[in-house]
Amino acid sequence: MAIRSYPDFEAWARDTLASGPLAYEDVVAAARLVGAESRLAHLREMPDIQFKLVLGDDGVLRHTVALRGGE
Amino acid sequence: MPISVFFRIQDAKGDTSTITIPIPDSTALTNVTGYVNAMSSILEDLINGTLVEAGFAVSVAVTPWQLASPISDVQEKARFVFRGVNGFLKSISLPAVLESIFSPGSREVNQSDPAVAAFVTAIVDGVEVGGVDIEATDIRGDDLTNLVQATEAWGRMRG
Repeated sequence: MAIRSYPDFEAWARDTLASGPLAYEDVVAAARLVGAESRLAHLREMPDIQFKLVLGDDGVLRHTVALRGGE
Repeated sequence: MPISVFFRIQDAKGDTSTITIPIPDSTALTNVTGYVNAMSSILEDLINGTLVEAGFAVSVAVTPWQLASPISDVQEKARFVFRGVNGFLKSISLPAVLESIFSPGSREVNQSDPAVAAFVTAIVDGVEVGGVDIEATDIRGDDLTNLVQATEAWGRMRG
């Protein structure tokens, strides 16, 4: 879909995350495909989007983005 | 009084600069150690200086960083300004910061950059360590809720 506005971007983000949380790097890659990389900071303005950083038992940090209440 | 976590960064000239991030004083000390390690990993991806000390009152042994890049300069900073839940601002400046985190032809930090995004998430949303979410605060202990501004800045010794 063409991303021409913030409403377009928000719809794209919700659709992209509808099937579950994604690694932040995967969100960046998906946004790049639709020319929306420069709008990614807007995700933090969306109340239904949740960023999460988890330090695993293996010592690796995992940065994910998800829809609140999503799987 | 919040626990002040600190990271002392050194550049190629041997100059140092310290980043201080307060976290709630209710944080278990075992989790603070994990938080310092997690934040060390996040900062390492943003900085071309090297880490000489990290801790909170006592130093914490973290995985060593790479040697300082020959072009590193602790006077070259990125200044992140966050707003706390009660409206007060908290500034965190990262010294010897990588040029690549700035948007081309701009003084603005590229907030889409994965290393930048991880840092912002760590400060605003916290880092889950040992099943406990640890969120940064300002010096009053107020939770930091959003990033207001992230721009290039220069230290006082730059001239």
